[in-house]
Amino acid sequence: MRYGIVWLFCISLMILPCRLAAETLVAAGSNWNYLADGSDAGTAWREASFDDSAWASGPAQLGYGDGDEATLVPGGSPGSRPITTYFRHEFSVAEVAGIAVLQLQLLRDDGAVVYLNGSEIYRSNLPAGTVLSTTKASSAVGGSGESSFEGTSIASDFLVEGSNLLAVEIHQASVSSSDISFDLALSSELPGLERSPYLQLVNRGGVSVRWRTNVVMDSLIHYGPSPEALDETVLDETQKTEHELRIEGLEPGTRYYYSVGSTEDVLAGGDAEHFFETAPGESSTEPVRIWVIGDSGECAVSAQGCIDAGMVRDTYLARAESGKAQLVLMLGDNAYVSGSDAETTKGVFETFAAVLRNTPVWPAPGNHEFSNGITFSATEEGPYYDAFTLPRSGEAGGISSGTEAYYSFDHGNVHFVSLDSHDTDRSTSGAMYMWLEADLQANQADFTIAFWHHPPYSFGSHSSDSQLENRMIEMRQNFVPLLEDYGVDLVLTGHSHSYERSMLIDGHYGYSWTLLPENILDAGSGNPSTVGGYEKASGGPGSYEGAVYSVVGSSSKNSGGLTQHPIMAYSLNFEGSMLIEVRDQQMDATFFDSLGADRDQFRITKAVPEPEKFMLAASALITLAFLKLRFRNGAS
Amino acid sequence: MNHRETRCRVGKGRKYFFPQRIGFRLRIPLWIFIWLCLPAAGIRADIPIGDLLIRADEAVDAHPEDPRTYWRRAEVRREAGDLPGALMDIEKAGELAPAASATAILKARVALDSGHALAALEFLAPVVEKSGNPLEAERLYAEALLRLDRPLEAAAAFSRTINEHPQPTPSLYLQRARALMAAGEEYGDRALAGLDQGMTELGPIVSLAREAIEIELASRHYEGALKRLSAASEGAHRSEHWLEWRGRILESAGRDREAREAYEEARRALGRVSMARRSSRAMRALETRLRQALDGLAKKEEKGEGS
Repeated sequence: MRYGIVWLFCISLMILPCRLAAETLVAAGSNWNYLADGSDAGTAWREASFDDSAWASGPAQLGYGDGDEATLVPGGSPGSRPITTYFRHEFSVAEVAGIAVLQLQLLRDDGAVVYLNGSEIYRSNLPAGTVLSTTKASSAVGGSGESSFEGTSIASDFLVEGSNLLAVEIHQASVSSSDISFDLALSSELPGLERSPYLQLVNRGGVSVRWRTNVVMDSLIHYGPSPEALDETVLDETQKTEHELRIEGLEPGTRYYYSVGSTEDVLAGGDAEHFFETAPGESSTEPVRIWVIGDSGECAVSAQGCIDAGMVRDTYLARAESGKAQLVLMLGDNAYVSGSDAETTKGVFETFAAVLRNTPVWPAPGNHEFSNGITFSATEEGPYYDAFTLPRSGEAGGISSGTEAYYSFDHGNVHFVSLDSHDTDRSTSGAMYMWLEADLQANQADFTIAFWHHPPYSFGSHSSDSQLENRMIEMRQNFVPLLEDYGVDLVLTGHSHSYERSMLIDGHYGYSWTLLPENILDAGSGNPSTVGGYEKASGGPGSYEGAVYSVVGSSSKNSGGLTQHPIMAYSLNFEGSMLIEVRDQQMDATFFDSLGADRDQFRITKAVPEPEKFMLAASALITLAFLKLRFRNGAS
Repeated sequence: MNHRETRCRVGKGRKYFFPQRIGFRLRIPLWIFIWLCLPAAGIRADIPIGDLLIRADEAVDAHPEDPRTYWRRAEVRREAGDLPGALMDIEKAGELAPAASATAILKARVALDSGHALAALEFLAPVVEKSGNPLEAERLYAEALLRLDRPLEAAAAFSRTINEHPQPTPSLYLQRARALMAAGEEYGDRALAGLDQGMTELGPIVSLAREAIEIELASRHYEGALKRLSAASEGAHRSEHWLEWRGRILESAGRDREAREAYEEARRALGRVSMARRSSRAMRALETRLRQALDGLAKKEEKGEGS
């Protein structure tokens, strides 16, 4: 099984990155001519017509001082290093028509200016304005910056058919600097997808489909009951790169296949993998399945994160073959390390493309979504708010929140609440609290699941006992009581990069040492196949009947340092995700690791008839009395 | 490789970075501000810095010319309560991207976190004067004004944020209304008009409706409160909580007979809710409150105090 998962992951690595048709124009490690004698080359060297036959040449990486160079270029002596070193490379392009954009990958230590056919196309770590041979880089580059490529998209305007010339000048930050590094890769991209299609705001009668292209075009969706019969269309003729179309008038609980693209071309879909399913109708008895991932955005910043998140995704996809989820819940920190637009593309839409093309995602923001200086909940600005279309007006059930920062929706017999635990007022007089109270008052569903980022209880990489974790404390002290008042069944969070899952608890709002025995309503594991699941007498939100709190924060990494919080039934430091199935009055949840193994299971059953409980208790008492009698008789 | 930063250990296991390139002109006000911040930061001075900061450090090392890496580390440090460290990073980012409004916003947040609203105001003033900057700058500016006990100016700043925003959030309307109420009861009508504007633009947002009812009650405008309550509860799936609130308003207005009717209607509405849903803690508490309210009214009637 484990090897199967690894194999599946390897195959998916080969399949998933094919989102754009790209052609390499200049490969990393290519041969470059260079001038490194400390002279001022002026400006003529940038032109294709310049004669560089007297320059030396060699393969990249070019430079000195780090020991990883393929070609050592002269660097003078410490204290008198040349500030500027020049590089040139000629390449050929057969056909320019159709090229949408160029992708530049540059390795530079310290600063660089890149010219294509004499025109500046990119500048890095150098001040604005005219760059002379004596201009120093803005700052010294160190650590991994000396060996990592930075990537950027560049318009293809200066590319010509036939011979093209790239010219690059590398600048030192000081004459005493010990090293320089240079390598470059350039590729062309045809019009295509930058973000594969993903589904948003699904309800009983509609769905929103979003995707992003690398060039502006109109938006067109074909959809229908099978991949071969995509007879219906929705068109928006506006030219743009960020595409979003709403499809309405659909049947509840129905699967539709689709393709996305423009009036010129189909970019994705029209196959068995691209479909959406509307929310079930009121009379539906079909189970609701939910896939839960938290802190899943590590692929945006590390290769290991891509491997781990990819394995988490693929173990889910393997399970989905026998029953796919209808919803994905993302518990925040969806894109490390700062939730930038590029990181969101990589951490969310590339990593989970195979899931999101047929399963709508409902996110909550984490702290990393706000670590970019441009994301704010009060004004709904930033890449997180740009990327998702979420209900403001109760479009999918629940009541209007008026904001995408926090919202609710219904799916089948489950009411979901998503809260912003990071950047929205968490006080009991705040708009989020007032809305939640009214939303819970209006709730009619059998089960209620709330999710946000900062866990009220955790001893993982973040401790809910730390006075510094004010967000965790405020959510526990302000929002947990409200949710429990209205009978929440399950609370899902992330933040700690671990898996933690509580027993059935109620009324514990302080630090861990204030936990009282009466706060634990069922101290069992809740595992239906061993000690039995948790039971709640009420069929809807029940009083004093308890809730389960789970941290699912290891969907792309784990952080170690985990100890067991006293309310937890199970804690684990391993990458994984949770699959929940709600069928009538029964909720089953399984946490499975990134190798595919089930690590934790629990069940909550509601509307357990009191008479049955009474009969059980009565029969237990009778049995005890009988045994006591026998013991007495035997003793006598 | 050139490291232009010296690393100093301050506190247990924690590293601060002091860029040497901060100009002399900037250093003095910066240090004054840091020392102002220290009392607020002091209680958090020995936090173990986790993987977030390590990652942020790596990003700064790898891309020391990218202001975003400093903003990111500043945010992490701010989160951890390391306000001087955060400020240092923000200053560095500001040197790299002098025009970036993010620098001013983050500096203002640090200042507000450490209780220095005036400093926040000064950081934001140049940003809010220009159009096209993040609306968060204007909102923070309003918040700083409010903390400086300048509620009318704060309300005006909230209004600018609302007017410039394509889809303002409820909290902006709420904050403006509260700023106006902080200016005095005589601004109650303006506060209500602002909330009404929010409900016109966003739809029936319950947090705005509730605030409006509370303002009406604070001004003893019982008719207004009742009218708003009727509008807010119209179409609600469940009516019991709204009816209880109606009863309380009527009781406050001295209209005990109508209050009793409302409470009784609330009990009937509660009775229509299935037993399963009636058993939640909130519903049981409501049931208790209704019973107590009706008992109270009955006692008043017995004493002949009722209206």
